[in-house]
Amino acid sequence: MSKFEDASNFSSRNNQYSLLPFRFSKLRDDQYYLTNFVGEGVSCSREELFTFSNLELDRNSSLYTKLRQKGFCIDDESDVGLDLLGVKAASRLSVLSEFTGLHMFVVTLRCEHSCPYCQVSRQNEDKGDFDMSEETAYRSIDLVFQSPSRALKIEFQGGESLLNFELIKKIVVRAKEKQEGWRSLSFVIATNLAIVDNDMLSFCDEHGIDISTSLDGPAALHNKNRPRPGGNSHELAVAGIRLVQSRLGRDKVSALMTTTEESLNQPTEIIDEYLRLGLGGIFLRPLSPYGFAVKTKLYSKYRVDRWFEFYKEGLDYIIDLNKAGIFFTEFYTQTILRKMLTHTGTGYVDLMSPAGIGIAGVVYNYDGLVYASDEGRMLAESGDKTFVLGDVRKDSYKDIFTSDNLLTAIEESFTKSAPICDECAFEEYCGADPVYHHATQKDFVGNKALSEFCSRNMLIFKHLIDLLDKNDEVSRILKRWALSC
Amino acid sequence: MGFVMLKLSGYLKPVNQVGNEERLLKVTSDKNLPGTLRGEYCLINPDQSGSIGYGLILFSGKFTENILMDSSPPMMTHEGWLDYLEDGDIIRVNFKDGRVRVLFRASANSNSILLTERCDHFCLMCSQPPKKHDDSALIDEAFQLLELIPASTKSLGFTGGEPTLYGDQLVDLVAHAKRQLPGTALDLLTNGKAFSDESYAQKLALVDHPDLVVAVPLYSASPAVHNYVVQCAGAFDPTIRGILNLKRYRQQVQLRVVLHRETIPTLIELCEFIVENLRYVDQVALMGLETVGFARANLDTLWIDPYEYRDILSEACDILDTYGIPTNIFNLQKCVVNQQDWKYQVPSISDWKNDFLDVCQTCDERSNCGGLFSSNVLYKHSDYISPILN
Repeated sequence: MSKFEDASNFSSRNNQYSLLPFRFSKLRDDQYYLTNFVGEGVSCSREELFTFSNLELDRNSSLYTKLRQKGFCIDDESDVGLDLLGVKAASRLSVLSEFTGLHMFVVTLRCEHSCPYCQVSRQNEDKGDFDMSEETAYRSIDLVFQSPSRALKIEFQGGESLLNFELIKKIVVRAKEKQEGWRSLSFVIATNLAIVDNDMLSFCDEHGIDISTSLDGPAALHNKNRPRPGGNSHELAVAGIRLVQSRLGRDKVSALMTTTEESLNQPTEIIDEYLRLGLGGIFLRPLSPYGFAVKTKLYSKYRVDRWFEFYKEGLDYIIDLNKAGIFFTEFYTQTILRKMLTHTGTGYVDLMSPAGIGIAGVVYNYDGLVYASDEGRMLAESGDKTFVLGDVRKDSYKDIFTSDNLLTAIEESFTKSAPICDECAFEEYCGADPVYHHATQKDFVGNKALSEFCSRNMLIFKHLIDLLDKNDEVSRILKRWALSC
Repeated sequence: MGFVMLKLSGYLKPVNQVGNEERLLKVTSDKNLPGTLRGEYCLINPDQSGSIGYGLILFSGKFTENILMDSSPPMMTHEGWLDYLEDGDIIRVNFKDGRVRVLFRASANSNSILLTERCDHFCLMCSQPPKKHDDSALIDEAFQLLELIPASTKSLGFTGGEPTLYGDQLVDLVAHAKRQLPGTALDLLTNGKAFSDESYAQKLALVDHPDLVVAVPLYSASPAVHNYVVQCAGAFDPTIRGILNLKRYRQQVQLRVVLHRETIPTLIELCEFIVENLRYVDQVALMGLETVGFARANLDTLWIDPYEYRDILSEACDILDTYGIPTNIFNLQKCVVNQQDWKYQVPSISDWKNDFLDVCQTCDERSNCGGLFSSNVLYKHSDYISPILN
């Protein structure tokens, strides 16, 4: 005779439960992917989905146990799942309260390269016309420090930013003077590294400045994409990367690629080039819509599918490298995995909703105009001023960061209330990107059925879900990517 | 290497007229303490001279006749079972009936203060089976004990029963510990449900203790299983809410999972639940079963050989470690745990429970291993204890 009660006394005697908000999308015939309010996912069959939605799923079933534990429903045994969703939702959005952390300074438009996909550079030698003035720089710095963000990053861009290194130095020094004790401040110089010298490196070393450069792939591909007098862009980039690694540190330089039609045929060669140079990861960027495709109003499924083959081949290759013990990541995949598997939020502008334009990153142009994003600046170069937020010489912080241009774009593109996005199971993994949709469809929201941004992301989400569902070595590798920050 | 479990309480026999008081006394072997201090102390290893003024003289041997001395201090004997007493220990003596309990051992690597035996749970494996009577004298005594414990003490635990049954008085006790022992880390063992009232969590936070860990048991992500193990319907939700509130107010929280046949089947889901929902807890403690109290009574229901769940344990640790949650394994031996998990193992919480089997004599890992609880040695341990030979 026991004073202990049996396990059956602690289980509920009815089969009632209440649904919590969830969405679903079809993965393939008879496999659906359900996500809860914060994007955590469960796969099941169509019949199971219907049974669950109709409140007829057996509470003793393992699927019910999984769904309740993951915040898809509550019942008379436990409703704390609702509190937990609240905590997780707040976590995902907490990055918003930091507001603008990334501040990009276009210190000059001058550049000695003439990359066909670049919309902005000028080869004019007249510094007066295309360099940022000291006054503009200092006013921009004043605006930087009005951001509440506890972690500030100032990124120097161009043209070729090193052509105005004198101003970069002044900005770094001035910013450090203004830095308060409660903030961290970091610097990045985006440069093609063709003209980097020892004095510049000494300054970067002294002030802990990181370098971000362009590396499109092996020499032939890179040089074709990025012509310069002498045709030696790749040689100089490689030399520059090695120099920075040795003078500043192995982790002080990262590279970005621009994907062109040529790139699509050689993902593994491009990755090998990154690996060879000791770089820790790559961003397999999509084909840019800015410049060329804007003119073409047709949505191209071919372009998306072709790019996705490129991406999959590259990702497979990178995963194989990881299996062999080399920790090398693909940054876009890593960002998405973080959104799928954690609730820490992201500051990556294009995958934020509300969109990260202005409120996560902002651009101070050489001429004093402030842009919501780098792509917004590029649009302005071809005459579209939609994403101009203000002028540092005349406008206040409030004018700029609550400008109608900015708020309208963010509000209208917000995916939780946008058509198609609001019902999408993958919405928590995705972003708003009003600049892209404005550029391609002249609409901040866009018809997502015609959006390459949407179709590309959906292909990636479904691919990653399949990989994670296998629960094998590859899933573990991907989880480690998501959790390493 | 005997299988001796330390006896912490028992009886003393009076040697002379001792009176009727109940007192807390610090233990010393110093026969030459300054006179003004002696009254607070119990002198051990005494000889026949110079013992005026001590609160108690404690002998070890048998006496055949009473020794009567005018104005002599109280004298008692334990007749051998308290030979382990050392300088710095603290005892409670009831002179009237001779009951003595060792409340604090200076050489132990951890000391727990029992605040109550009352509890609103009735865990299947409880090592301190609950009682119903009012024992609030224990918390009153705890206030006093905190003033006697040496300030150099590294760590202390508050345990029960369920300490939060004292409500605000428990918060006062934590504040008292902060004042009396500011350099001593404090573990508060509790089922956590009282903290589902946010104002109570706030009160604890306002004490601002410099190093407090609230240790909360969580036995499964399935409410039915957790509630069954703790034998309390509806326990799961307020436990989780308590943890959330404690973290809202920036208190350190440790989750404790006792590993037995009712918790092992859902251990992996529990770890997944923790990393998805409680990722911000400060530690997770995975604990082997100690065969005392209810665990002995329910051994048939609860016992599973740790060697048989070692792979589940590995997967559990891996999940927690991948998400960066500090994880520790207690009370298991190196030979029954996969080698990849040795890094999570810490020696036993209580060093006075360390014991080994005969087979352990030749083991190369013995000095790194916490060994077994004396109770496990006596009643139930893994069938797979065997020496590791490098």
